[in-house]
Amino acid sequence: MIQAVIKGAYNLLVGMGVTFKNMLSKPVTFQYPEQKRVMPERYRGRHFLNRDEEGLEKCIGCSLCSINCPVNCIHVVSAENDPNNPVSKGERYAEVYEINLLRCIYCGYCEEACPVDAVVLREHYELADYDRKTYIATKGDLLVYPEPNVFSVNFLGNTEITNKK
Amino acid sequence: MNTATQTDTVTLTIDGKTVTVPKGTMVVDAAKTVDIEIPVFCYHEKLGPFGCCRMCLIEVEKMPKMITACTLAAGEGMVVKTTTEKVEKAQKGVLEFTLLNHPLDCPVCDKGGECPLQDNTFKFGPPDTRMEYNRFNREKATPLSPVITIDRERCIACQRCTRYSDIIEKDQALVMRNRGFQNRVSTFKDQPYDTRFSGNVIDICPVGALTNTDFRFTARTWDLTNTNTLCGHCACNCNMTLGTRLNEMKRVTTRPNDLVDDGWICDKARWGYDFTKSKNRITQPRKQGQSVGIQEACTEVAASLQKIVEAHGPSSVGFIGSGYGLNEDLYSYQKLFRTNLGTNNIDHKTYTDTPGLPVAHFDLLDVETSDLVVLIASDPTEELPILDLRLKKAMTRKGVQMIVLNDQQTLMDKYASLSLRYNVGSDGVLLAGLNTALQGQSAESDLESTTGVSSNQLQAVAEKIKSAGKVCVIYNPVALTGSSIHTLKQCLATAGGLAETTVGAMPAAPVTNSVGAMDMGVLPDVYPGGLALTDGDAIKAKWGDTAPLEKGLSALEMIEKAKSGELKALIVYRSNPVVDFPSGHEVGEALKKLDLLVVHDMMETETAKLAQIVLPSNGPGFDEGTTTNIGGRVQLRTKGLTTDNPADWKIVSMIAKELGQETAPKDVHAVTAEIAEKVTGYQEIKRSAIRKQGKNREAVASANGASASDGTHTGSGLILRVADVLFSHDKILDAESNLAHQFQPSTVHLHTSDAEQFGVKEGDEVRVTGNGHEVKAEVRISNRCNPGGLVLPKVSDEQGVMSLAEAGKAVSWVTIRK
Repeated sequence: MIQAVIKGAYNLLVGMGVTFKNMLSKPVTFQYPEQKRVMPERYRGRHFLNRDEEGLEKCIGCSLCSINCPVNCIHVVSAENDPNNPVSKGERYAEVYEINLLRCIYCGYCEEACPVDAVVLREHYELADYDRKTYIATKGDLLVYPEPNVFSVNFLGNTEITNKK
Repeated sequence: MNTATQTDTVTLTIDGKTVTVPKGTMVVDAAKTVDIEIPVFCYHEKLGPFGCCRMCLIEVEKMPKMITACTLAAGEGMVVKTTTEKVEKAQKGVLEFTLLNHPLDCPVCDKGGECPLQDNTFKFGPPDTRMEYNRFNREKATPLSPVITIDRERCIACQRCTRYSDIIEKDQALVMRNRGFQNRVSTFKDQPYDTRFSGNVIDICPVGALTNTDFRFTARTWDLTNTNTLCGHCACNCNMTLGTRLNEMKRVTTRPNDLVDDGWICDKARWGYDFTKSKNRITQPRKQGQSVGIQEACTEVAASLQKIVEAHGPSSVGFIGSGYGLNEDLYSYQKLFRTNLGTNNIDHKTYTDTPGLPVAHFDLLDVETSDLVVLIASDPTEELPILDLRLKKAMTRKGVQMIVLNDQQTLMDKYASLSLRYNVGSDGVLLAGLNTALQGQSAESDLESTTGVSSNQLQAVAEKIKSAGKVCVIYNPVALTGSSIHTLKQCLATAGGLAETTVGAMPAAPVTNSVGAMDMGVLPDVYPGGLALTDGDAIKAKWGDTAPLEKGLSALEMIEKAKSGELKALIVYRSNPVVDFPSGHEVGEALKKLDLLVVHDMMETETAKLAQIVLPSNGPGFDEGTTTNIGGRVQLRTKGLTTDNPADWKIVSMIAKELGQETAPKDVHAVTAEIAEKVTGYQEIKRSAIRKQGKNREAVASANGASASDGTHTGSGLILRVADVLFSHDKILDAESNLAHQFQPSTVHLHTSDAEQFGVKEGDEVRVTGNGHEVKAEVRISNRCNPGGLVLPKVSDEQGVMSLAEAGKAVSWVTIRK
């Protein structure tokens, strides 16, 4: 009988030991949304379209992302560049570039297919919204700096981007 | 039979597979028949062997070296190997050289996705490049013509385009200039390469060097929805693929059908589809200028027609159709007028013609297999461009002879072994003379003075026809004056009776479905299938007891009656009488007097502006149904674009429903099936039978009119000959068209002696007057026609040449004023 009590108390202490140990350690949870998680560099979150050093769009409207997309969520309509006032470096640029972020499965195949590193998936993961229409990301939503973007959802503001190094 | 097989075919082994092919087949084609792919760049089956790209190197047993499969004709017992180590090494080597200076801009290139160079590199090429230096840079996008852009950096000098220009087009417009690294595709002095068939080089280019300027960068090839359809311009009905995206026409490419177009299309087919997105389209039904719903418009049309028929009788309504409609649409319209309104006032043309032929109806392929082609009053280059290519092929590569009988000079003359030019307006006398010559009698004595062609020359034509084994007569009924079409058909009947000769004919009227319109009975005196009005029992059996049996009014008579007030209502379908009918300027006045004018058309026309009710017609690209080409081949035109407006036949059936027709066809195929049932000659026409290459319809009954000689014409001045122009500035090719650079100025072609008589010089601005109207034109002293006539090409709608022609007259006299 006493033996059983001692064994029970021992097991209790062992069990509670885990609890006491974790009481003293740093918590794994954090106060979201006040605090944000820092995502890995290669995390495949929301898409962006890059610009080159001269500020021109990198995208040449080749539609390879669109054809490579397993869920068909990218819509590209290309047009010829005006040589005097080019939008991109090539002979062609994307006049319309839309991604349906709801249909997208964030597989990153578009990024893989892109021959000019224009489309990238970045760390931004906060994609919740109240309106379906905002999930059609247009060129204005996708193009990153250096031009002032007019985003329909403030994606850049609500996610902290820090370098982990 | 066995010996014939031995001499006509050869059997060889390719990669262990035994192949039997006709003699003369190249090894590369023989391999294709057993699904063995030998990569090629320069070889194209229509252009013949060339062997400059070296991509198709293969090993043949007992041959010491590798040989190009595209220049090697298959031989008996040949053992061919296409996958040996040596061959693979050679393929890799050739591709490495080909790609040496080829820019790697596939993501930007329009050919990307359908590029033989890409495909061959994937399948046969080296995995990597050893090129360590900068690639040789050349001019990027340079215009070769206003519609073709050349990227010389991408060119691999396969010479397909230059050979096309030489062998197929017979123009030698494109050549390879310079040698070595400076070698480039170009034209003489870098002039624009704007022939009638230039666009085909885009399709045959195996890389993205030659690109379609209009399509350039607007869509990737895999984004396009490709619809196999037919061209809706001329009566050749070439097969083409309509590439669309987001319900907008993007590009047109060829869809080879050896029985129709031999794999080529003309530039009008390739770039003449801007009208599908034109602002000038009729997109909504209108009533007195106000947009209305389609049902409301149809109800209104039916009610008004019914009211007029009740008040003035069925002969007070009429229908002017056109060969631009599909068989289904035209059939539905004639049925509406005959069975629901009880009138034969149905027509689609202003010239004389009858359905059917007294001889066999030859197809386009028969042009090649004939011994002799007789081209009468036809100018295929401007009217039926693909027939032009077919004729050139027959003349230059198939050893066919050609006789041209025409009142004007055409580009076909130089391929003819005998080319006779008769006086404008004398075709009736000439054909009567030919008929007597064919019968072995001597011609009338005044033949030469009337026609300008001597009886000896006609005798020579008759002799040639008699001595040839197979004769194909191609004639253009539109260019024949008065009732000479009947004389021509008698001529054909006489020739058809010749013992040694097989004679067939092809009525080559230029409008898309002109043969179909005749077959569908859009005529005042013939029911569908060539059923004459005299055959009352047959008509009653097919069309019911109320079917009218008295001859209706022809299109010109309808205009005449409208002017006098006897005709109260008219439906005009896909026709523009104000511009295209003789005395056009008076037609407008006549149409204004009608109680009801309904225009059912695709584009806003001068006639549509006068109409009380305008109905939208969908037209090529949007419509679905069958057309019959000049060879009597019925093909399926499918839609690549969609619209909310109902199909043309549907609109007719809606009107018919309002008029008390109980049954309505479910879809367009139900109408096709009804045509197969009701129209003689179309029994075998089923959707499944015509889907791929089309099918020849059987002969329709030949209802020939009596031959009446129009005799010699008297008048003062010169006789007008209106010539068709391929790139005419009309509603289809408007000012915004890609082909606007092809529009010609208004010119008048005179004979030297006539020019002297009128005291005009080359380049003078003159006014051609006649029939109370005048047309401004620039003088060309080109001897295009004989003295006493003048040729006025119909270059635009605004020019108004048809107003010079007098309605109902065989010939029209005009004079020239400075």
